[in-house]
Amino acid sequence: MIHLLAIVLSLVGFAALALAMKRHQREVIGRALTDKERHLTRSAGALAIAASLAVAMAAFGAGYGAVAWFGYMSVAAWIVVAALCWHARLKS
Amino acid sequence: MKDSLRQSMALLHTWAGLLFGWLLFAVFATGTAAYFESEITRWMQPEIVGSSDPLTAAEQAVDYLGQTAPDADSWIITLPNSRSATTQLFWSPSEEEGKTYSSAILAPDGKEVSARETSGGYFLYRFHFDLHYMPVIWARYLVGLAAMFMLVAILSGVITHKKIFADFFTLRFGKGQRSWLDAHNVTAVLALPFHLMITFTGLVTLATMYMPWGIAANYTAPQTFFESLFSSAPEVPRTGEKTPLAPVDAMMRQAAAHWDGAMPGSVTITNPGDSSASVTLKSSSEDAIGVRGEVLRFDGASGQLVQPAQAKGPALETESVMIGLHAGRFADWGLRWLYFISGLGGTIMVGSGLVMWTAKRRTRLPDPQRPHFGFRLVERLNIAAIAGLGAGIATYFLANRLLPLGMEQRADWEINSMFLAWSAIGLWGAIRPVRRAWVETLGITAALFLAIVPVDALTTSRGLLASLMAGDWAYVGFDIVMLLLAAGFGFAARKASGAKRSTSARKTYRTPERTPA
Amino acid sequence: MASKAVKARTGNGWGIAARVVAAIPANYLLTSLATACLARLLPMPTAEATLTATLLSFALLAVIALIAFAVRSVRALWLWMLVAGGVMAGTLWLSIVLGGRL
Repeated sequence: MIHLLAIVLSLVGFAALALAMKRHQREVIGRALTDKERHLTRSAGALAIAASLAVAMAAFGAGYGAVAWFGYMSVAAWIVVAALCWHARLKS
Repeated sequence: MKDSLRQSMALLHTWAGLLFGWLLFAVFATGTAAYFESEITRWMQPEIVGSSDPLTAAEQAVDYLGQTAPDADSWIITLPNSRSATTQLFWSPSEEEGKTYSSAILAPDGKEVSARETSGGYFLYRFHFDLHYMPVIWARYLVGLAAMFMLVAILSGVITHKKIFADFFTLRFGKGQRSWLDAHNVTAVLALPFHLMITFTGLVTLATMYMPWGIAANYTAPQTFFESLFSSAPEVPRTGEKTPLAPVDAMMRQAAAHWDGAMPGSVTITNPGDSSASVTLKSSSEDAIGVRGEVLRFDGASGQLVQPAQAKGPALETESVMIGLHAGRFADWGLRWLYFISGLGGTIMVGSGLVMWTAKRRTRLPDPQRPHFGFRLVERLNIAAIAGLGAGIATYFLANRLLPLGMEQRADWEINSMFLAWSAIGLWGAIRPVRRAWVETLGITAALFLAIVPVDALTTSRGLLASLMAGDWAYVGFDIVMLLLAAGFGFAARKASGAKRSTSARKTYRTPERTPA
Repeated sequence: MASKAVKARTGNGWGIAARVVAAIPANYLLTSLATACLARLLPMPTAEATLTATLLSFALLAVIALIAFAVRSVRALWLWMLVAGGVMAGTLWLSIVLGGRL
């Protein structure tokens, strides 16, 4: 369950990081975010990913937690890519 | 100037990746499967049910060995753990020349396994670095060389990649060559720490074999180095005085008390039944990242602890953790799946890189209808490596269910079946028109993976439905992964058949960062 | 096949061949020497120093392979590798003659 929680945190984090990029803003919400919004989204994303590491380390210890964290990030980022890819396909 | 550095790195990336790409694909794929070695073995021995606890298993093993090999020099017992139900025994006969080990596997009931003869997941694990049909030593050099090329390909790939952050989340399907580049980047970049870790630590697993010169500079005999590093039990001759072995379970309990309750993973007994007997307990690989686990030694006759755990130096600790990270034996089921998924990502990265080599060059061929020999060779080898290996592994599992149970050398024939199917697909891919070859071989591979689930249900009582009802998650997981692999290969076959449609897209789409070479 | 920019950097066929030889066999030789030297000279217990040097060797192999293709001049590349190899071979020889092996 901790794994799931940590993956969801990473997922939220990477989704936010993707949204902070101009190309994906146009794709997903159809407009560019303002500088302030972008800054906020990016910080929130980084924070969520850091929280994912913190959760994993608290639950499994520093070494194991760090190893698992790299796994969470890869899987979460791949899910974001798949979602963006799917979204683009639905629109076209 | 900066661009030309990038271009020379691209050249290096392209050719270092291509040269060993086919071997690397097989190494990545079987290594990924090996994360579920125990589960695959369980699936391939459907006769074995239930589970076993280390204490009972150790007692059973000592009883069995006491009857089978009372005069052996040493007994090595690998105990069951949370993933494996069987106990593995090795012993070296005392009188015979050369240290050839005998082995046996005990089922949870303490009797020798009577299940079908199979190498199970162990074969995939060994193929990952020993290959097959060739001397192990050459295979390991070859795989090591491939790993070194991989490391260089990864690093040069990172230097080459101009827009690593701009393209971070980008995957464009149906854009011909562009979509291959994206697939390659997404699988590579998003699991980059894993790829770097797995390649480097892979080299470390056989480090002293690939780079023995540090040892040679310090020691006249390599054995001195290993002895000083691992402080292994000194070899003592038998006294000839028969003494029964003290109860092993008491020693195991004592060890568990040392290790916060964790049971040992293996037991080694030297000079069993003699007054000089010694018992070495090693902590389980499930309990720490490092593989060079903690070791406690007991006097076999009295059961007294004689050598408490010794601290490891920082270098040995580092090496131990690196190998542990590679093998992932410490991982619980959640992290194990992450390892598996990252490994699949690596396999796709290598595969898409190989296909990209041809996709990039096809449009620039002087005469696309009649490509030059090198191009055709790469094209056909790609089919043999990617679809062929998939079909081979699927056939290995099918053969496990379909070969007659009493067959002579059954385990060998399961393995031979894998290579027969692999070669057949390679041959098929070589003689058909290339586009049809991709569609057909990928389609056959998908069908083979799909067939595993019904064949399993028809030949055993542990099909997908029955396992689901029984909550037998190792079996459910195996069958579901087979279905997903079938879906993946089916998807690839469909993409390959539709690739014609995107030829026009490829022509109009100018790739902004076409790399040279 | 290589574009102009790459040609300027990696040179003609002979240039590439010289880089390949530098990046694979010569690299292995040089790294072996470095590993042997480090194994003897690192200030740690002998077994630890040996293992540390061995673990580092793969990173060194990779970096030298990259350098072999990154530097502009093949001549300079070989010159540096020969000088480094000579210095390390001398150091190793001296160290073994003076200190002996276990």
